[in-house]
Parts: sequence; C-alpha cells; structure tokens
Amino acid sequence: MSSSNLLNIGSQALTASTVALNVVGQNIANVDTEGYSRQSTTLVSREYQNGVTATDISRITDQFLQSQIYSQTSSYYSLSSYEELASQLDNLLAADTTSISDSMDTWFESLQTAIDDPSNLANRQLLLSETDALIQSFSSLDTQLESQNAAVNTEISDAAAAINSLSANLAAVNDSIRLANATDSTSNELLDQRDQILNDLAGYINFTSDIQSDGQVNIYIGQGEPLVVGQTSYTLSTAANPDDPQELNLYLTIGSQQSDLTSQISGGVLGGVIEYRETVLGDARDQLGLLSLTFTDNMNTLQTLGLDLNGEFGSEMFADINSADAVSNRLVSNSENAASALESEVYLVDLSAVQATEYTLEFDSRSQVTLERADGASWSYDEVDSEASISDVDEDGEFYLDSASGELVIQQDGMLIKLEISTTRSPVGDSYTIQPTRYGVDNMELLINDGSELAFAEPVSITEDASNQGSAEITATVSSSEFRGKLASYINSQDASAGATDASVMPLQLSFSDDGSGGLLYSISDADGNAIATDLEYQAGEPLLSVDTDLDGDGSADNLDLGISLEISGTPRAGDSYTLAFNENGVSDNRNALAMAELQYTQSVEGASYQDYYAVLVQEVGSLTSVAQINSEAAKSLLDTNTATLSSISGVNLDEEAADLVKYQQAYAAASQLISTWQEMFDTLLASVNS
Amino acid sequence: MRVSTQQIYTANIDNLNSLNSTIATVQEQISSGDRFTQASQDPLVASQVLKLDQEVARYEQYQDNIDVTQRRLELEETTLEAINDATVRLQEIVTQAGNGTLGSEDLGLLASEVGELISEIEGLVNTRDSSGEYLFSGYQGLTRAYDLNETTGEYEFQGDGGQRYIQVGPDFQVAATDSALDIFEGATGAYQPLLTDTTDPLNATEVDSSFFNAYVSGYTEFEEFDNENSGFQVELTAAVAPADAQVAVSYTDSDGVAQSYLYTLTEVDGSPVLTADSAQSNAEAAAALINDNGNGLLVGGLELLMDDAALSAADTTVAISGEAESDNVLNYALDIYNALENADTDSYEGQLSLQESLASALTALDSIQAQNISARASIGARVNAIEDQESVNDDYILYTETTRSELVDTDMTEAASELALLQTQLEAAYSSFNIITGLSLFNYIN
Repeated sequence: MSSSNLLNIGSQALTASTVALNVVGQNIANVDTEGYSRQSTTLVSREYQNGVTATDISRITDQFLQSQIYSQTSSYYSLSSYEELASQLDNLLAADTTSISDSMDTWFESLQTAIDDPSNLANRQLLLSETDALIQSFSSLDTQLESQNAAVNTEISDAAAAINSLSANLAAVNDSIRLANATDSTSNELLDQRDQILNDLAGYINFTSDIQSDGQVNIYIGQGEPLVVGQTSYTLSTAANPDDPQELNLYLTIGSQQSDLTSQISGGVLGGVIEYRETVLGDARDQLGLLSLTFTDNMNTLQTLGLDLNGEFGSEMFADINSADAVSNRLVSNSENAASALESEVYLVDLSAVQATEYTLEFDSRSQVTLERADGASWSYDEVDSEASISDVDEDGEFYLDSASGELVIQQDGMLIKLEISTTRSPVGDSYTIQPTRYGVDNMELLINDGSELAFAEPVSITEDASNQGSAEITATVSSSEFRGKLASYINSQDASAGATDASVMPLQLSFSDDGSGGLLYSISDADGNAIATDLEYQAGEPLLSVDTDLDGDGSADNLDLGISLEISGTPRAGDSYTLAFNENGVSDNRNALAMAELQYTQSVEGASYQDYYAVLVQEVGSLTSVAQINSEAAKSLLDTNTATLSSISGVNLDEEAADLVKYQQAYAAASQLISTWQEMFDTLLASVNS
Repeated sequence: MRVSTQQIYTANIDNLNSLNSTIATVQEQISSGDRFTQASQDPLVASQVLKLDQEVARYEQYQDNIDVTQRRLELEETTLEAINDATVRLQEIVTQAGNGTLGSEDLGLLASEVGELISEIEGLVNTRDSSGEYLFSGYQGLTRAYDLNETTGEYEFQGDGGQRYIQVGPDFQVAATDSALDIFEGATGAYQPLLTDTTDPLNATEVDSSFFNAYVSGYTEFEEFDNENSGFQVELTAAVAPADAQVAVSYTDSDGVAQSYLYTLTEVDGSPVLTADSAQSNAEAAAALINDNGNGLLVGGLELLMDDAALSAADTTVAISGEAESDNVLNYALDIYNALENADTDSYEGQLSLQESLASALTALDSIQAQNISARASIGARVNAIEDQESVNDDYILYTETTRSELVDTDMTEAASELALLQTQLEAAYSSFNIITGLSLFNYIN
C-alpha cells in the first residue's frame, strides 16, 4: 500500500466535501426560488483505490405528484376564473341598485299612484320618469353582460398570447435539455425551468404531457392536438366565431391547417371563461331579453287598446318588439356560408311561446332545412310538405319553402323566421344562428314623453238605464282600436243608405225584450238608430258581438271581427237597456291602468310573472356561483395539499442545510487533517532518514 | 414529515389570508346587518328574499291606495252630509210654506232662501278633489257633474256612470268613487198623474191639461186608486145647442165592474158648473164627487177642475194614469223654488197648485234623503272594509318583514362571538408565526 494513498484519500475527500458544500450553498441560495427542487450530492467510496468521489448531484422531486399538480392547477384556475365572472354577475343581479326586480317594484308603485288619481298629470309624468329608470336598469345590466362578453374575449386572446410565449419557451428549454444531455452536463436547473413552465401553462389550459427519457417534454391540448413537440411549438390564434361575430374562438395552426379548438378546451383560465360564456352569459342575456320583450309588448298591447287623457287611443309606449332593426338582428348568417342571404328576419309573433335560447338553421339540401334548438329539439322542413303560400304560415310548425326562389318562412316556438337566399350558389351546409331574445334589451325605448298620452281609460263606458229591473252587468272587451270603423262599415254593409261613420256610431244602445215564450231577445243599434242586431235570441253566458255571433240570423256564426265584444254577467230582464258610449271624456277612468297593474302578477314569461322569472335567473346564477365557489375552494385545497407534499419532498429546509453545512465543513477539516498528517508523517520520515 | 422552509412561510401566509378574509366577512355581516350580500351565498334564500321584498312593496302600495281611497271617500261623505243638511232645510221650508197662512210675499222670501240652497247644492254636487277632479262625474272627471240647461230650465248630469276601483288588498278592489248617476239621479218623487188625449185613439198624445186641469189632493190616495182600477178616463161630449155639454168619468174597478158618472156642464156667471145627471142610477154618488165650488170633481185623490174653455171645446177623451217621478235633487229643489216663486195664493187654482207642489216636494225630499242615507251607508261600509283591510295588510307586512329578517338578518350574538373567536385565532397565529420563523439552526452554530 502506497503511503501517498493517504494524501490521495485526503485530497479526494477535500474535493468531495467541496462539491457537497457547493450543493448546500446552491440549496441555501435557492431557498426562496420558485420551482427550485433541492439537490443532494451522492458520495460513493471508491472500491479498490480507497477514498470517496461525488458521482452525482441529484434533483429531488416526484414526477407523478408534479403531473397531478399540473392538472389540479388547471382545474383550479378554470373554476376560479369562472367563479370570478359568475360572482360579478351574481352581485349585479341581486344588488339593490342594479336589480331589475327592485326597479319593477318602483315602476308598478308609481303606476299604482297614477291609478289612484288617473287625471293627475304629475303622477302620469312621474310614471314616465320611472319608465326611463326601468329601461336604464335593464340596459345597464345588459351592458354589464355585454362587457363581460368583451372581458371573456380579452381573456381568451390574452391567454392565447401567454400560451404561445410559454410554449415557445418550452420548445427552447427542450432544446437546451437535449444539448445538455448530449454534452452530459448536469441539467437539473433546466428541468426545474421546464417544470415551472408547465406549471404556468397549467394555469391557462389543461394539457397532457409526455416526458421523454432525456427530459424533453411533449405537450398535447384539447383532444390530443400537439402544442409542443420537441423543439417545435405550434401557435394558438383567435378569430371571431363564424356563427356569432360577438364571440372570439380559439384556433390552433399546424402547418397551413387551422382548427377550431374552442369547444374542446378544458381547464385553466381559458376553459373557465369559455365554459362561463357557454353556460351563463348567453343564457342570462337571452332571459333578460325575453323579460324586457314580454314586458314592453304587454304594456304596448294594453296601451294601444286604451284611451289617453285626450280621449284618443294610446300610441305604443315602447318601441315595437318587431321593429326593423330588431327583426334583422335576431338572425346571423354563418360567415362561411356559400349562398348569401338577401333578406333575413325573425318576428316574434307569440311571446308566450318564445323561449330564451338559441337556434341553428341548416340547409340539408336545397329543398330541406333543419332547425335545431340549443337543448337538442329539432325540426326538419321538406319542400314537399310546404304550405301553398307564405301567408298560409300562421301557426307553429307551419312553413313555406320554395327552392326555386330561395324563399323560406318558418313559424316555430312563437317565431316567424323569414329568409330569402340567393339561388346562384348551393346553400347545402349553410347555417344560420337565431337568437330571438339576445338583443331584446337593445330594443327597449320609451316612445311617449307626455304623461297625458298614457292610456289609462278603457274605450267604452257603459251606463245602465235607471229603470232597469235586471241584475245584469255588461263589460265591453275591445280588441281593436278600429272597432268604431268596423261597426260603421258593418252597418253600411247592411244598409247602404245608413252613412255610418267612426264618429257617428257611438253611443250604442243595447236593449232586451221578451220573445213571448219566456226567453229574451236583444237588439243593438247605433247612435242614429241603425240596427246592428235586431231581436236576436239571448243565451246566458254567451258574449254578444263576438266572432261566434250570428248577427244576420242565417243560423250560422258570421265569423265577423268587429273589434268589440260584450260579456254579460247576471241576468237581464225584458225592458232593460244599456248605453255604450265612447269614453272620450273618461279622464277619471282607471280600468285600463288597473289591467296594466294586474300584469305584475300575470304569469306571462315562460309561465312566471316578470319578477318571479327574474328571481329564477338570480337563483340560477347564484347557485352556479355558489357551486363554482365550493368547487374552486375544493380544488384549491387539493392543490395546496399536493403542492405542500411536493414542497416537503423537494423544498429546501434551512435547518437541514445548516446541519449539512456543519457536516461537510467538518469533513473538509478532517480531510485537511489527513493531508496534514500525511505531511507530518512524510516529514518524520525525512527527518529520520536525514539524521 | 419533512417541512421545507418555504412551506413554513407559505402555509402561515395562507392561513393568515383566509383568517383575514373570514374576519372581513363577519365584520361586513355585523356592520351591514345582512347575513349575506351576494345571492351565491345562499341562492335559495336570495330568491325568497326577492319575493318577500316584492310582497312588502306590494302591500305598502295597498296601504297607500287605502290612504288615497279613504281621503276620497271621506270627502264624498262630507259632501253628501252637507247636501243632506240642505235637503233637511228644504223640508222645513216646504212644511213652513204649507201651513196656509203665508201670502205670496212671504212665499217669495222662502223662495229666495230655496234659491240660495240650490246654489249651495249645485256647488256641492260639483265638488272637486285636491287634483281638480269632479267627485261625482263618473269617468268624466274633468266635466262638471251638473249644469243648468237654459233651454229646458233643468239641471242635467253631464258625466257618466263610471265607478273607479282601486286595489286595496290582493283580492280586494274597492270602489273609490261614486257617480251622481247612482247617488243623485233617479230619486223617486211623488206619484204624478199623466194625462193622455185619446180622442183619436190612433194618435194619442200626452197633454199637460185639457178641458180640465188635474190637481192632486192626495198622492197616496191617487196611487192606490190608479193601482186598483183601470181604464180611468174623462170624456167630454161637446154642447150642441140646445143641449148642454156632457162630462163622463169612468173606470173599471178591481172587481172588473165598470164604474161611470155622468155630469151636465153648464155656465153660471161665466164659470163652468157641473151638475150630476139625475137620470143615472148612481146620481147620489155622482153628486157627492162634485167639489165645494161646483166646478170640479174629486175622484181618486185628484181634483179635476173644469176649464173655462170646456164649454166651447170639441168632443175630447182624456185618459188618466199615474207614474212616480224620477229626478235629481237639484231639479226637485228647482220645482220647489218655482212653486214658491210663482205661487198665486189668491186664486183657488193657485192654492191647489201650491198645495200639490208642496206635497209632491215632501215625497221627493223623503226619497232624496233615503237615497242620501243609503249612499252614505255604502260609503261607510266601504270605509269600514278598507280599514279592516288596512289592519290585515299591516299584519301581513309585519309578518313578511319578520320572515325576511329571519332569513337575512345577521344574528348579532353569533356574529360577535365568532368575531371574538377569530380575533383570538388570528392573534395566536401571529405570535406562533413569529416564534416559528425565529427558529433556525444557523442561530445556534458557531
């Protein structure tokens, strides 16, 4: 055994301790570095030559735990970004200042005040101001929803940019790892960097990772579309949704191929905001739209059948729900359609059947189209079953399709869809998106600005003759503001010389007489004594002047719509008579306004009253938010647990490092002592030889 | 378990963050008084609360409606009371005028008081509320209820029979107005004789008087007579010299027996005089019907006073029937005014006419007062009903607010003790953090 061996061992021990001390130093220096995994030195005793060598500086981590953390990070970010948006909306819907329900309460309160004293102009004017306020709260809520959509778009493009830069970095790191492996230099810090990039990426999107044996990683998103493969990264881009230009979609470019990933994305901020857009945002706007459309239409209907303070039929209070702008906004052509749409309109003809949802209309062939509702219900229209003409389409399920002219008219779910396409190119595969109520609030506009134009009175006032013996009460239901004209033309059609006009027919006289066999007859005549009905048999419970009435006495219903019908409750007696006057001075009449107030509790929006419908929306958004909050907390705590576990494996503990520092310091001192001992031994030997 | 240094810090900071956020929530609950501010904190309760708020708003509106309605009904009631006072005074005047000792001049004084009362009543029926709406015009609130028609000399109702209803409870609408048509029009007056000239049966015409004037001496008697008998008529057979004119009064009694009395009409000192035809079987009964002056007949509560022109009139048949008058308070008062103003106490006809008018006025005034009382009773009943409804509404509001408060109000005791607990926890966390981070082996080596 060579005596220089001790020197050798000492110097090896010195080197090994130095390496180990360096690693301790590295660990201490990186105690706070994010993504740093602690390192440890592997010392091996040399078998034949004796001594020690530092064979490896290993990185202490758990790759399995690490990949779990990626997927938990992406689900946590997905839920929390969803929750953030949902809770914003939740706040808006329920807060006193923005709640539609509260504004409606105030509106109906001021309507009631106006009802108490219908001739008071100040009260009427107040109601108009409250109407402005109501429109304001509808539109500010709608604007918030619109800006949430814009926020979602921004999030999507920001996330796409961030993912692009992360994937480019990852490709570069992959390259560095490859090079480091080739030169066999330690790449622990590169691997930390790699894992840190993956961690950041998981915050934006869910992915699957495939770690190669040399430490490079490949990333796949969606249904397995590659994002990073080795040293190559692929770019994500955003562009408007061809079905809905208001929304941004996400595309992946591979070579010259662009594919739409929007519906396949899950996890991360991207997954969260896209899910919010799909499940909450559109629906909430649709429902708010339906609410505003139903409210304005109901009020308009009553307003146009009542008389205002000037004794005239009211004009529409709100913009018509089927205004030119509104009908064309409801239908969007897919931007990739081959055949261009020459005319596209969607009318809402029966609001009680309209649903707050989205439809897709698609041409299966030139002569067949399919309409599909968002919930999956679908209808197919084949040219062979088409109605004979456009005007025949007046009931749900009826349609008109003419492939030669490119005209298509469908009535479904209370909507009348009119589409005319250019026939020069084949429409097969073309699609259209129909959003019947999405922009309903945009259309909400107050048209009258003078309180006296509010139609609080009913058009007919009925006075019973003082000498009447019967107990009958007559109610007139007016269904058209043209009813006087209709009566006049009916009278003139019966007697050309009558010369009845709008202004001359009222007041009508209704009288009952005995038919001689215990029954009752009734007669109706206009102000000039022209007969409208003469001695017709009176049947209790049947309305007079209705479409089912047989005025000409030919034994069958006339099917004549005179715009007015009379309901009788109680029992009239022979000799009773009633005067039905046009209520033009009826400034103190509040019957029509009472009918307006009654609408607050009428179940007119998808089977609910206005405010109940809104309450359901509040509850739905509240539940979704609350579920998202709970899930996001759960995901957070799961993530925290795993992060803590990983941290306890790969994190630096300063106490431990302090102990190591002492240990290797002492080892270093001891090794130095070895060399010094060898030196002393050698000196002793030399001295003994010299002496 | 191995704990990395970073973990010590992050775990502590996480804990402190979540403690702070809980404290903030509890503090908000205490300071706002609401258990939650976002629907997501309890979606089910949030939609219930919306509903409850809506209910409270609705019932508070009912209470406002009740206040308005009550004010209006009370104004109506006061007005009706004042009208009633006026009619009571009218009654006194009529009674006073009827005692027979007053001359035309005294009656003229009474007439001018009646004139004042008419103006008063006219003002009252045209009462307007605080917003200028005529109380009794029905739906035509900006139209005066009553105006004097200069042509007919009568007060005419200008409005309509509309009655405004106001919602004062979930299923309760109350009439907040009354139309004059219901409360002033159609007051039943005295049972007045109706003369129809049936000389030409195909062309019967209503007349005020004919060869005789009919004065009612007893309204009740006339009404009974008219109801029990039929075919009551007076027939004049004109004088053809040398024969005298003949007058026949006939009717069919309730047993279906035809009754007939014949008279000869002659002239004495330029006045018509009736003599019972002695040839008839009931000559004595016929003679008994002749009045004290001999110029008229007393039949069925009527005094049929022969006209001066009767002797030269052609053959005439007049049928007499009766009908209760129906009019409004103003026109009845106007009748009284006219009767007093134009009273001619010096002539027999004048006296008869005055007595008749005063008797008829008393009947009408009775019926006006009955109508007034029933209108006020109806208003009173409505006021009672809405007062009941008001307390029901109050209870409901209270109940709803209690429920709401149970759902959303912060339980202060619970929140305060939770806050105290959180405070202790946070303080402990601060001090333990300080201790733990102070521990390091580096402090002990060297």
